[in-house]
Amino acid sequence: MNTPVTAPAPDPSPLVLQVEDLHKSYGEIHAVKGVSFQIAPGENYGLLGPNGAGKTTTIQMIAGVLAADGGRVTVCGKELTTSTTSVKSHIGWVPQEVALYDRLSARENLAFFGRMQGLSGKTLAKRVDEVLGLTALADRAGDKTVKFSGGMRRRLNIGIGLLHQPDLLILDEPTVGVDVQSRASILDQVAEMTSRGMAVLYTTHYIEEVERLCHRVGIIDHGTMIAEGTRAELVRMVGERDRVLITADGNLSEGADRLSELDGVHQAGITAEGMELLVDDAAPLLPRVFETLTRSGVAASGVRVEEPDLEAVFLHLTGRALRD
Amino acid sequence: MRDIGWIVLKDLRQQVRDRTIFIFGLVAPLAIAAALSLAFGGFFQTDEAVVFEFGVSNADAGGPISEAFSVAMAELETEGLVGITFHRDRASLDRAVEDGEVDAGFFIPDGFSQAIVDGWDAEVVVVASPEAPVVAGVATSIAEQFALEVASASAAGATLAILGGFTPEQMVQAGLTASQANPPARVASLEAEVRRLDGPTYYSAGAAMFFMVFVVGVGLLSLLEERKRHTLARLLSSPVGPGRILAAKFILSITVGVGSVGLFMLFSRFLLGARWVDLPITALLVVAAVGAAAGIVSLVAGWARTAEQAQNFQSVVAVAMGILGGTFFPIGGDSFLATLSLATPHAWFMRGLGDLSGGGGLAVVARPLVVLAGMAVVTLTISVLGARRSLRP
Ligand SMILES: Nc1ncnc2c1ncn2[C@@H]1O[C@H](COP(=O)(O)OP(=O)(O)O)[C@@H](O)[C@H]1O
Ligand SMILES: [Mg+2]
Repeated sequence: MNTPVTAPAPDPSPLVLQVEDLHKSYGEIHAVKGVSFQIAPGENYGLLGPNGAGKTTTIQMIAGVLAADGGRVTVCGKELTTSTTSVKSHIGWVPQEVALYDRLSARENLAFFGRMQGLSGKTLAKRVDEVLGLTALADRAGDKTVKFSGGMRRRLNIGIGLLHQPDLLILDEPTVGVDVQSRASILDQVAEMTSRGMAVLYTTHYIEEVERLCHRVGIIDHGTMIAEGTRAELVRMVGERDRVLITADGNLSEGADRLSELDGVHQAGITAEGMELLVDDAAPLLPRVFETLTRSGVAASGVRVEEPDLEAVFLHLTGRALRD
Repeated sequence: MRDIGWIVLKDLRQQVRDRTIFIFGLVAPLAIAAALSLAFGGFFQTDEAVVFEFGVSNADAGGPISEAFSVAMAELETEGLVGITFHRDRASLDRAVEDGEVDAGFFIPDGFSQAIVDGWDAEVVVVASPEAPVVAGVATSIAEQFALEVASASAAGATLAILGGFTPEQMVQAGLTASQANPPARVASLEAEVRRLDGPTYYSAGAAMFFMVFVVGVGLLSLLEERKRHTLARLLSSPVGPGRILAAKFILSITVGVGSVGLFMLFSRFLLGARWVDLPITALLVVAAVGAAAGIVSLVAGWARTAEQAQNFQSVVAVAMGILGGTFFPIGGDSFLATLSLATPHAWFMRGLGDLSGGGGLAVVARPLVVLAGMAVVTLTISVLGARRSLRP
């Protein structure tokens, strides 16, 4: 009999980022107290927390800008510290504050930082043009950035982080202090990067942004990661469920009975307008809900889903609102 | 390595667009050069190394002290430091000064020696044209130096008199003999400063050094500025190492400093007739002096928390070292000030240029060069170590 030879399992696609037990103190202030998380290739990870939670400090340590007091950052399988210069090119870090040279034009800023990332010649020229297009700044490329509006500066700030096509894009509150239009275009830009398969670490204290962009979310407060998971997982973790409100006519009691037998439905009741369900996650369930209703002889004319949001999760976990 | 170059280029480009660097690096020194050339115009037009022509008129002929002065001056002449002509009386001396036959004159009034012996105030009168303040200054210094010597000689003589019962005349004589070697030697050391570098070259070198210090802190300042604007953090997030960022800032300082001195030397050559000899060695002196100045400025300005503060520190250092370093007027002799002056790169730079002006190449400037290089290495090392703590977001 042949003993089956098991080939060593191929390395599963390595994590883009692995953060283990990061610590940082500023004098008396213990700003980051043992933060750990991971990001897979192509994943958009949101770091959500109120002001002063330790998001920027965490991110600066990940970007190799700030020396950690303890813990470990591994990027694409290699350990990253402030002095491991070559590993840093895997990361495109967009600082919270706009970091540009005022007296240089947009193009000059891009070219300079591109060179710092090791780009040169035709590749550099091509990437600069691409980023100018991406940030919708092509027609102002020659203007000194001191003349730019806040939104334009923010866009260029992000663009610089994209120049060298990093494996991991890190954005630190990129929409703070930005007008509505620029904000929309920044969010589109990030969504676009994600859809192209770039891993993203996105910090914000805006729940809508995380809900719109991120596959997974870490909630950080007082320097500690207090919860982590997909939006649905987080919501479930705290026992909050989606409420589905259906406007309907017909055999409502039959419909309610059948619906309550469905997997993922915890409650089905009759209301003045129709019925109300409590479910784990409404979106994937809705087609089956309507199918069941039709078979029970209920005519549904409208539906509204009330999801408990991450705000509710944060409130549940900390007893405080995310935004004060 | 190329990234260092790109950072330097980027900084230079910003500096050029900022324009303040032009003001300190070029416009201000040129304005000063123009002012100097107007003020000392006639004096500065001479092309040969300046040997001051002094006239001496002694109305106190036969007096022991006035004779000592004449002897001291004659000695300076034999050493080739000055030219001396003797004049019959005050009127002929005045005429000689007026006609420009001599650069300045010393008139020793009748009864000078006796007055000193009797303990009265007596002065060697300096006759000089107000249009030649530099030479007037030199002449005054010589006269004051001499007066100082006489005073100390009388003190020494008085002691002798008490001890040995000398006549007043004998005692002054004895005092002078006791310190005989001193007056000419000291006058010579003062005079040497000016002798060795001709006027335009001395003042151009001084102005170049003076203004260089205003711009040489640019490396440190731009580092603080980058920190304030968060671009430093961005650089730190790129694969460029912290050491290279510091190296770039150091090169920036040296480039701007050497550029400022070099440009000024070039312009002063044509505007003021400054003579720069042995260019490769002069260049070495410039680089070493700029390095030392950059180190000192960075050391002092390194205490600053903000770029604005650092800028102010830099200006204070520039003015203090400019004055102390003798860039405006020569500080000679062995006074306390002269010793202090040796703490500035300026003094050593000027001394190096002076030594070089007599020919002899590298060998004759070895000491100033080593001192400057030493200053540069020590101060830059300390300031680079200090700057490392600025390398954070
Ligand atoms: N450079 C610093 N010096 C001292 N304290 C700091 C510094 N940066 C941040 N902190 C403190 O550390 C904590 C975390 O700050 P930060 O990481 O900026 O939070 P966030 O980005 O989530 O708003 C806060 O209490 C903040 O005041
Ligand atoms: Mg922050």
